[in-house]
Amino acid sequence: MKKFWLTCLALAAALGAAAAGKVFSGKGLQTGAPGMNRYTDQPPGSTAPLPRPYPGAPPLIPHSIDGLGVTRAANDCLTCHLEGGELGDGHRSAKIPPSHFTNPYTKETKSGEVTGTRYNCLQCHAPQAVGAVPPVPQEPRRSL
Amino acid sequence: MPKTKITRREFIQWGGLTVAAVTAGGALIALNPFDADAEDKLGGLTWDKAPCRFCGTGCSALVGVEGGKIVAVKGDPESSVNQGTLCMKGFSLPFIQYGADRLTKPLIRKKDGRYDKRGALVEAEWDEALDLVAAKAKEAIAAKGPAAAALFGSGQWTIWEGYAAAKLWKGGLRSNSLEVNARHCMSSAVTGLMTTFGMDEPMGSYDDFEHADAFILWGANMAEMHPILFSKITARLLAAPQARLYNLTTVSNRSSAMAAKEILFTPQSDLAIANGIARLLLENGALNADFVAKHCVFSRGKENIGYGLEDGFKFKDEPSPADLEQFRAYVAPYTPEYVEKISGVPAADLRELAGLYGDPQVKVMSLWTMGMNQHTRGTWINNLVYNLHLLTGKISEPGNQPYSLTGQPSACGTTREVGTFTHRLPADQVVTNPEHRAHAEGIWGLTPGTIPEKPTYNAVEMMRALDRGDVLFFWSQTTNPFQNYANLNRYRAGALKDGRFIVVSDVYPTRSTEVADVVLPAAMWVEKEGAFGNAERRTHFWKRMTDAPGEAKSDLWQLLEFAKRMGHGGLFGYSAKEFPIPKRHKASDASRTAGVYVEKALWEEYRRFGLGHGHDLAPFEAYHASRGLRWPVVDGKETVIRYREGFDPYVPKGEGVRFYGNNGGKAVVWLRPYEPPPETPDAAYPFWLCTGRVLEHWHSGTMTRRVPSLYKAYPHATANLHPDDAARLGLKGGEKIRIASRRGSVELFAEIGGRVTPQKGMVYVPWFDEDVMINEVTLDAYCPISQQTDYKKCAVKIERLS
Repeated sequence: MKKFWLTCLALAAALGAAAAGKVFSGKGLQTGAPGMNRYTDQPPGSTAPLPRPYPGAPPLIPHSIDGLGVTRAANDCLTCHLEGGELGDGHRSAKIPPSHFTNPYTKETKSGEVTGTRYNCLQCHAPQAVGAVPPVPQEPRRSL
Repeated sequence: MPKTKITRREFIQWGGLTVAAVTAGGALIALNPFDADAEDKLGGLTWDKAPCRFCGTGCSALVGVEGGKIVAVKGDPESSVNQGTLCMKGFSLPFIQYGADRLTKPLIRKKDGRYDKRGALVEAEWDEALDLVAAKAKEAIAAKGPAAAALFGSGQWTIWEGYAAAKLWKGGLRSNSLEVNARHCMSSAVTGLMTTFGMDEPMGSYDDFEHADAFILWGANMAEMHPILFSKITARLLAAPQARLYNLTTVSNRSSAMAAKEILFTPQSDLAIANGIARLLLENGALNADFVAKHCVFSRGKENIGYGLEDGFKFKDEPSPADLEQFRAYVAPYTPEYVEKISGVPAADLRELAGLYGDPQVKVMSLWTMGMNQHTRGTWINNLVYNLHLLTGKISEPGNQPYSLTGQPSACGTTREVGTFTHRLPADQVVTNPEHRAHAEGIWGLTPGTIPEKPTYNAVEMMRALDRGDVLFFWSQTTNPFQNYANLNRYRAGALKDGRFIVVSDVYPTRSTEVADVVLPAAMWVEKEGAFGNAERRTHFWKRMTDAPGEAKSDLWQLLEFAKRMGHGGLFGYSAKEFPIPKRHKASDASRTAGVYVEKALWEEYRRFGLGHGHDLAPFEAYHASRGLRWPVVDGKETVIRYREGFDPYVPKGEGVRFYGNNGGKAVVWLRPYEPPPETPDAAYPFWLCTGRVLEHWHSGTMTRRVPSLYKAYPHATANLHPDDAARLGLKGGEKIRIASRRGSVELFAEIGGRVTPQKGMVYVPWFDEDVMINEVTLDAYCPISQQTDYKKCAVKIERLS
């Protein structure tokens, strides 16, 4: 968190300087050093949900996906998320919304069968790296 | 996997806390991932359609605006491209405009209040910046001729931006020094199509995904790079038990998860694989002799053609006619065993692939992007894959298509169709053809002889010319050349030499603004009115929805203002009477300044180039009123499949198939050999380096790395290694390494067992990370025919640092 606020300060300083017609580095997202991506090893059901970026945005994955696979034969994500809700041991999982069960070609809805174009969960849903802070924040604006 | 014990009470507290934290703003919040109907709670926004800003798939997004800002997007259910969904990059569109360091004022490098190459970037007014840019362009032209003034754009220009650029540069400045990053991206696809069919762009469309039985990926990790198209493949695999996916690749990747087989091959050996399959097709009696006799001719070009590594490299192919028997003899050496020796692909796998291509009951789609295009024999491998579809007649019908995908939203619409390359003019025409020049001069109202007949520099040679001092003025728009060029050290150093003037138009500071003399703040995407063309020949438009921040201006506005200062404002002197700005229209900056509906004027002029010869585009309004149309659009009807009677109005009745791009209406089956790449691993540099992308980030990461959820999903570029290689180097995942070639080096962290595992003896590094400038390591070798750089293979060594 400290790193985040330092980044904000540095950025505010840079923007302030630019606003004052002074020097602008022209540099973008460089931090001067490479980094490593590290993800949580907390298993599904053991972590708090992450807020969506905006209503309707695909939920982010708050747990480890190590060892989980989506293949033609099986989709491990569906084990918990097909029905969603209570997992029986105090854990709860997000339920896949109705949109994911409608075949976009035929418009048919089959309950319990995620449609093919939505089957690759990782095309939209991603785990978030631990301790990763974007080098540049978003401009503050009212979100929904 | 051990489960961390957590009580229900604790869990609910956690969940409650997170959601409460989001609701603290007071507004209605539906960010809770447990709320399945979140999308329905997006009331009160203004929605309009726009194609996604990222890859060449061309998904349609519904963009939700509130208070002048984009706050949400939805997949557009009315688009047949994406049918109501988007990938994670598409869903991040509401964030790409709002990084806190958006460029909002022009910047000029100054010392003591005056322009100075050694000075620092300071804010300036538009007039001062544009006057300086124009003065420097004039200076360059005065010193070394029009070729010394270069403009470098991209497949992210809107169609009218690319068109205005081409008209201004070729018809105004009389300079052919116009290139685009698409040269690095799909020019091998263009030359592949031009040499085989005489016309650019795929014959099929995304509708084909619903009909194919076999999908063969030739070096394309579609699960990450074209997720929505991969979702169409997935849908077909799940719906049709007979459907199969084969992933031919040099790295094990996510696309293999859905595949019947992953087939790893040695870099460059795809040439041998394709010839090996062709040989088996003939041996197995799978030749469609009737189709070949009616619709194909054979041709053989030059061989041992070089790699474009030398400054001023020149190549011209000299094809000579051949025939089926010569072809048979030519591919005879490519036995499964010989191909296995070159490629590492087991002979049995090659036979399996040949079985798919050869079985008349199996509809085959071959799909590719950078693996085949960024290739020192990119044109050849494109030709050789077309051969397989031509020999079997599996082409231009639903589900049977060779399919070249693209990586940028308007690589097709802008760079290929408008022709923003040194040698090109709109609608597949070229500056070297006097009739084409005359056609362009006629439409542009220019004195005959205005457009120079000689191409100047391809993209790589343009940057070499900048380094040498033959190009003195270099302006880039909608791209990041000083991160995306191979052999980057040479070109970054070149840009910093005295006498070179670098202008960078962009939306954020990048590795290119870092070396710029002038930085121009650009408006992006729905801050302007735009048009893109995707990889199924679909042209789609969008309207302006928001204001650009500060004084940022669209690239079109910038080009038109520059044109005035260069004395070429008349090229864009459209009549307000003919093209009035409609009432209640959110006009762009360019239109407002001109007092004319400039986008419409440019479009209606541009489309005259393609009418009547298979490149027909519809009138302007048709695109705002639809989710796009696939050209040729004749009598208001789009064309889903080209060259096939019943689908394509240009195929005469009774002919069935006609490849009308070539005189005589026939496609060319090419005799092309396997030739090795220019640099292969050796004792000093024992690894292959392959570069590419990841799902979360697009190109150099300028937009996606400013989206919090994408940044956090994949913050840094790492080096993916095979576990056996890591063990040999004594390396563990998470250790720091240096990757070095003969040209440069980068430091980064090793990753073992990530989503990509290269074959043994190879390291994979994505190029999105500004802190890992992997292009300082890559080699600027290119295909002599397409002049496209090969980013997929060079030799490197790996040192452990930690």
